[in-house]
Amino acid sequence: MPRYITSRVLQAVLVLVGATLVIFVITFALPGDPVQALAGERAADPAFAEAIRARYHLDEPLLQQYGRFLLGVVQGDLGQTYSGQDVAQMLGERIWVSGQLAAFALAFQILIGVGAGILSALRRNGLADTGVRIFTLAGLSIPFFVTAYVLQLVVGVKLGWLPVAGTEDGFLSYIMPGFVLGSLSTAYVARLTRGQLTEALREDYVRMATSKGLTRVRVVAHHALRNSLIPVVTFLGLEVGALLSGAVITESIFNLPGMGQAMARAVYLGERTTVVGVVTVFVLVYVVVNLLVDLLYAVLDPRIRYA
Amino acid sequence: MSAATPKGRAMTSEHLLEVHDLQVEFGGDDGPVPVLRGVSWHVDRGETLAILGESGSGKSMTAQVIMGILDTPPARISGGSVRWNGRDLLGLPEPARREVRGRGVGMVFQDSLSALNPVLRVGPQIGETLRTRLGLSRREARDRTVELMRQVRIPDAEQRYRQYPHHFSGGMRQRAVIAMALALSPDVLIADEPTTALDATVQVQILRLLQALQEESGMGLVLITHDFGAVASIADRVAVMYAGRVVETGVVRDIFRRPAHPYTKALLDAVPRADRRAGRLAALPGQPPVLGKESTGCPFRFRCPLAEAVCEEREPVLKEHAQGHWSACHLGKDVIADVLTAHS
Repeated sequence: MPRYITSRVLQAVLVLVGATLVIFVITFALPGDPVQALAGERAADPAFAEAIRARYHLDEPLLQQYGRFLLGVVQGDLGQTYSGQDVAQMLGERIWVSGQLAAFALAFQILIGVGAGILSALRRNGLADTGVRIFTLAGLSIPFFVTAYVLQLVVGVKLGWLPVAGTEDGFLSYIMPGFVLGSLSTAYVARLTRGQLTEALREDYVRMATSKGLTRVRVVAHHALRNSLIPVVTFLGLEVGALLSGAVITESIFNLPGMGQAMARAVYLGERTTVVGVVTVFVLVYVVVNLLVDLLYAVLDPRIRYA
Repeated sequence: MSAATPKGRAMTSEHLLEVHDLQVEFGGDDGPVPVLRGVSWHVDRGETLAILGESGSGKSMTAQVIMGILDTPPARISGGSVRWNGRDLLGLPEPARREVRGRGVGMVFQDSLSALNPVLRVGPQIGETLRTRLGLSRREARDRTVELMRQVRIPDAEQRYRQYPHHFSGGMRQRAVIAMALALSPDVLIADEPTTALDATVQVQILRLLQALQEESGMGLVLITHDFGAVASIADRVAVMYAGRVVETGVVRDIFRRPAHPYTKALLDAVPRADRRAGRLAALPGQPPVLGKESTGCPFRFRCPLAEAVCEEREPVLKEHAQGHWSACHLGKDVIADVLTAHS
């Protein structure tokens, strides 16, 4: 087990280096000159441009800049924005907003997704099942930014139940964006749970459990559900990473000052350090969560052993 | 009453477990397809009944109906009764039915690998009902479970208790499944092809174990199998099934010495025997009948070496050819014996 974790951590380092290098090269290739963007409409003063380039090492070759960046990452330094803000510090503040958003989205997926899936599987072809199938189909088909605007208009403006945007109302502010962000995968989780549980209910060990004289609740909860939730847990784990990247749009729509919003703005401004910084954090989260999911997998299914 | 009932006195005397004229059909595109067409048999305390037949004859389905684990729909129980100590199980509401499972009638599944939950430890799985149904404490249940595991001859039961099913060999798994079915000391144990997935030597061990357990507890044992060898060694009586019906039933000695149905005879001929010169094994030609094809005659007539005109006209009913020996064949028992002897 320790060997397995060590090798996974080493793999993670490689992934991190590879992913950031790709982003580095891509942002370099982006059209537009960030120095010129700083100067606005007028042509930049050559002396000013020169100073900026020197300060941010933009005059160095790409690989040297990248090496500098990696050296910084090891020391917890993600560089500075062109306006002089420390990127690591800025993301440190924003990651809580994104984290809360992701937590709400994940909670919706677990409560609604898994719950609806179980209901659907137990009442197969019944009224509840049909209802769940219709809603999940809608959830999968409607683009989530459409859901977002409709909810903002109906729940936020017309009914006034929840804040339309911003973070001024504490956790209430996260309910609507969390639901929107999670909606797509909630539908998927419901379908996955339904399929897995339906299959598990046909297994011999479930019939055996029934024939032992256990109650239906015990048979489902103790014998069928545990096995059928293994793929669901895997999906939800990987989903954490997807929730962060999906947040780019959701945070923009709901004006949440999270990492996704910072990323969207930075791409727009050609603000390379921020883009690379956000991606670094995303990759880090993704890799760590992946590792945790794989370890959790071994806990849920004793047949899996890592050596 | 259906003529397929082997015993006229069935209604008066009470058997430990009795299946009477059981009919099950599946909903098909072209109307219901009958799968069980009036199955009747019974088992008493301390007795071993073997149910014999090829795949699709309805052996396992009968067991599923008894346990109440048949998926309805698509299946539908369209007639007949299952009586346990005189109580009709099919009419019972689910909670009462659940009480009977495990305590009244226990079941051992065919494939021990899939019958054990792969993500739960074997011991707690075996002893689960001791806690949920008998209300034993964790420690009491554990001690009793280890005892059960010893009873089914699982070595190092204490260590094995904590292991997962994938740590067990096929034979050990089947023992664990048997221990699980015996946890609540059922009156009747139904073993659905308990040795099919096992090596020949392990098969013998499992059969001996079942026999020993039955003698210890005096329970009724229903052994579902397609292996005539297994039947010969431990059964008291035999019911041979074909196309959703019992076609011959009687004590094992009679069935072996004087089979009164050409199908039984064919099955017997297909058993390899050490006391005969090795050669080609006899095989039964043809396929089992396609279910749902409505036919009026004997379903075995297509494969029967003795089929006559009458076999096409109507399906034979069970008749008592000798004391306690019933067969559903138009031809008289002696005719069958003579002709079959001449054949072989």
